[in-house]
Amino acid sequence: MTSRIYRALLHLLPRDRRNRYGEQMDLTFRDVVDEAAGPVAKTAAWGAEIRGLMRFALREHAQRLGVWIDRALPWMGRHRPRIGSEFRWAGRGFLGRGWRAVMVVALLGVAFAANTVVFSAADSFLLRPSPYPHPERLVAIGRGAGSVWSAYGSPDTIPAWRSFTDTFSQVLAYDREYSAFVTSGDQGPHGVAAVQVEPGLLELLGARLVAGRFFAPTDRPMIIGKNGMGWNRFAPTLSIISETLARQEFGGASQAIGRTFAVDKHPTTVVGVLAAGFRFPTGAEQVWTPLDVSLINVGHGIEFLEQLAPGVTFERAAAVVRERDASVQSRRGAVYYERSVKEPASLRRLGENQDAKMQKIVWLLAGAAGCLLLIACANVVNLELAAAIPRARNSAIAIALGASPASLLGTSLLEGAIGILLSAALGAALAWQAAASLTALLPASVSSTLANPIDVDARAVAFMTLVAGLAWLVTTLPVAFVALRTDVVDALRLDTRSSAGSAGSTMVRRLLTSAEVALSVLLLVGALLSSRSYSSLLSIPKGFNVSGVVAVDIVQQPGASDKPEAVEERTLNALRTAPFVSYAAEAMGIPPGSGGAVTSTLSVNGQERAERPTASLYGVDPQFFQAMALPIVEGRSFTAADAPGAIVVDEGFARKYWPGGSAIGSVINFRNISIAGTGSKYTIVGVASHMRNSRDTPTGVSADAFPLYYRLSEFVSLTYVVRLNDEKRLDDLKALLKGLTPTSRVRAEFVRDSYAKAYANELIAASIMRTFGALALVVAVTGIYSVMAYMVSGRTREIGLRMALGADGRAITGMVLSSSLSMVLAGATIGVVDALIAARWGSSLLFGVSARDPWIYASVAVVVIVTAVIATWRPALVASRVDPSRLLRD
Amino acid sequence: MRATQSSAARFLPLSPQVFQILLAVSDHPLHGYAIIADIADRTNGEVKLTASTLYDALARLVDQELLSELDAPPVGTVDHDARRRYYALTELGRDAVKLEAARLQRLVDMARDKNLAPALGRARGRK
Repeated sequence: MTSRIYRALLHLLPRDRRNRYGEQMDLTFRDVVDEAAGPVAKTAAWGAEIRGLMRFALREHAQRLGVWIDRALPWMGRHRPRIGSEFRWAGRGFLGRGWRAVMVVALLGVAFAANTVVFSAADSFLLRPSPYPHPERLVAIGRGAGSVWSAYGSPDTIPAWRSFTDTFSQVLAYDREYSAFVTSGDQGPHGVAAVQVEPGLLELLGARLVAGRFFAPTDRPMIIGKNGMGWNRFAPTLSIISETLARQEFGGASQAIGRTFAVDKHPTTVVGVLAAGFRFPTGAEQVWTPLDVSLINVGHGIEFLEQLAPGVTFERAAAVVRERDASVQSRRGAVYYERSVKEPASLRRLGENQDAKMQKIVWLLAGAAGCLLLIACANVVNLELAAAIPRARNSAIAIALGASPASLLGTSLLEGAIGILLSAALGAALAWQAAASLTALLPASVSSTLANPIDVDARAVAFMTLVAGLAWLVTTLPVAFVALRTDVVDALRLDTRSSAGSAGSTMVRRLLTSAEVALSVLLLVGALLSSRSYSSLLSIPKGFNVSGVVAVDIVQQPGASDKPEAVEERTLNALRTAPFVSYAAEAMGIPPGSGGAVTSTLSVNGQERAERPTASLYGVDPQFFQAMALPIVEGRSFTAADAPGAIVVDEGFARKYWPGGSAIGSVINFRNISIAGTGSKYTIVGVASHMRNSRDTPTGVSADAFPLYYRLSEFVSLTYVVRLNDEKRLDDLKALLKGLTPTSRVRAEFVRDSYAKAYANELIAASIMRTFGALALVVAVTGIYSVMAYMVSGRTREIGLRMALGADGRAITGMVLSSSLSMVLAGATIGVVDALIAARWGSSLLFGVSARDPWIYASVAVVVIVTAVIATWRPALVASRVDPSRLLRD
Repeated sequence: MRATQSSAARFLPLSPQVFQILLAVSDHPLHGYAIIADIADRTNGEVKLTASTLYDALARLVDQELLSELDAPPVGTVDHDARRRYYALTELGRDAVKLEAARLQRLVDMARDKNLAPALGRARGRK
């Protein structure tokens, strides 16, 4: 932890210095901290180090600036000594403030970083257009609304859409359900994301080759068999890879051409290398392989990308899609026509994120980051005002002796600018790290919609510069104004009366502190509400007992000598005899994955019914229901004697299509699907409790995707569900699997964690809000402490007089505490009112917790008041120990 | 030698911290933390360098060629951490320390002539 923070701070230094000395400095500083005895000495070591680091950074940057000025602006040469000395004085003035300078840089640096990262996220999600040529002409046809909108379509609709040449100049498809399996390099077997694209798609998106060629229209994958749904399985014989992958695996772009690696377990030859920086569909893909829509089975959803014909507006194309969708779908059959009438297709711009909830989360975080910046600025003004009172005296004397107010103002602004520059450097370093962490945390569902990376790019730097400029004016001008009181008599009188400053400036500082408390309450309420909401999402019942259930996925190395069937048999035997495994079952489709989507017809006692239900299909072996502890509510689960045509349905499915009756014995006929040659008709033998999956929403169950379970017979999936009898044995399970297939990639994860990933947006929002809330509380408490300590030190004489006149220590403590509490209570009240107003706006983001939950508001108020009392305790104690006799004698 | 002494003169006066750093590596090359520890030890904790003040000075001293960064640890180093770098005094650096010591000596002598500094023997004795 120490090392991570210190390494982030090292970004204050110019890159060459950091590269040369950074690691040694880190080692040396760790030794210094280890040597320091006790927390006080360690804190002191940190303080001294940060001050030294700021001095080092300032000197280095100033030197480089001087060199740059000499080279770029030679006419400034004769002013340089004066400018240099002004900067030196300002630097000394700023660093001379000791701990206050460290506080200013830390407060503003963190606030700048928070705002920059949130801006980068907002920029990537909402503001920036997609990075491809003519982005205004790139669109996608899809179905659904809000976050459930998807661009998936059936390959047989492509010719119809292509025939609208007056609307679309190109319609091209891609499919991202493939992963490349790279076996070379030092990392051993590992996977990278791959996507199939139709020839021409990469050129349309402006991809640039650094070696080799694009796909030719004749490049197509090879059919290598059928999957569990009876659909074609492909092996891509050719591929185009990213420059990064080419460098990592083959030592460079030109060396990669003609080399072979594996995609989805099959060898493929590299024909082209794309220039770094190209992202499609997300930033994760590093392998692109050819797609041929004519080989893809009807019903297998793929994504389309359309380019509008020249001169066609988005609105006109959207109207065409809306009107023509029904006729396109009617060519496929009545079911699709009916669905189109119910939910017509719609058009979106490529990369456009219309997930209203996600947008709201981003704006909420932007608001929270803004609050944090305001709190930091208020605290900096507070700290600077305390220092401004003695400076006002010096300035007044300097002006009385003939100094120009303009030059004093210039020095003041320059000192502020030095602080802001250091804060911005720290902010940039922290933001850079935080943006990388945020990208790593983002779930696939979010990153798959990102056409732009979340990074600290030129736009983010420009934004931070703007924020830093505003912060500079907000924090420097009021303080410079106070310091430049020109009336020397006033300034001197101020000194004799009290060093705590005039009543006006004290009032300003108290108001600023109240504002800090109010904003902290707002952020803390937000943090608690989002955390509670996230916990509620996690605790939604899954329909089965999640404890100890692990999802296992084995991916074999391409060309492995082991046959998958042998691996399957060996794995199941080993799992079922392992002492820490209660049950193990092979399964195709593991929750929360929604299984394969299918449309079926129903027949009861040979009579076909009118409904055309859609469902999610899971292939399981007989132990599946025991491994998951998924209750069978009617009928039975599979037995070894069952014919392959047996099926278990979800209770929601049974209730919907057999209301009041029994589904057992009825027949389901899947259209277009023949599972492992067993035909498409299935007899229902059991009804299982509802198993929550990714198509369900937090508030309801998707009626279009009830799980149906068929019995896996011959198909080998190498995916399993395993119930451990002790959750601590996950590592043993991984070791067992790795020992069974040392050259394969093995993934074993608690199913509970897989479910939690579905709420990663909420987790990120809650984590960021918690961090902001905690930072806000710390900053506000620092503000309260500094105001009260300063007030007590400034009123020592008054307190001494009161004690001489009979006031006891308890009365003085009470006076200081009540003075602090009045400030805190005013802030807390305003904060609670603000939070209630903000919660009304954000209530749609919450689940399982009321936006007006009284306990949350009460606990935040208690925490703020208690910490305020603690922060005031020491100043109050100091006040109560004032010795009146000594004070009056002095 | 005279030529390096005259070029070393341009670095005078040395700041107390720089003087201590050059003294620390005058016997044998040391790495960063060893320099800090040596100075703290010799000055009874009066001069305490932080990592950043040390490397701020080391960077400038290496640029000025008063110190050199070694490519490998000195012979006989035990428990060597490959990430640590060792710094040795250059001829120019040695001349600069000598000139600074002589300059300080002259200042002390002047103070002694005015009875503002203890005589040599007494100073040792009192310590």
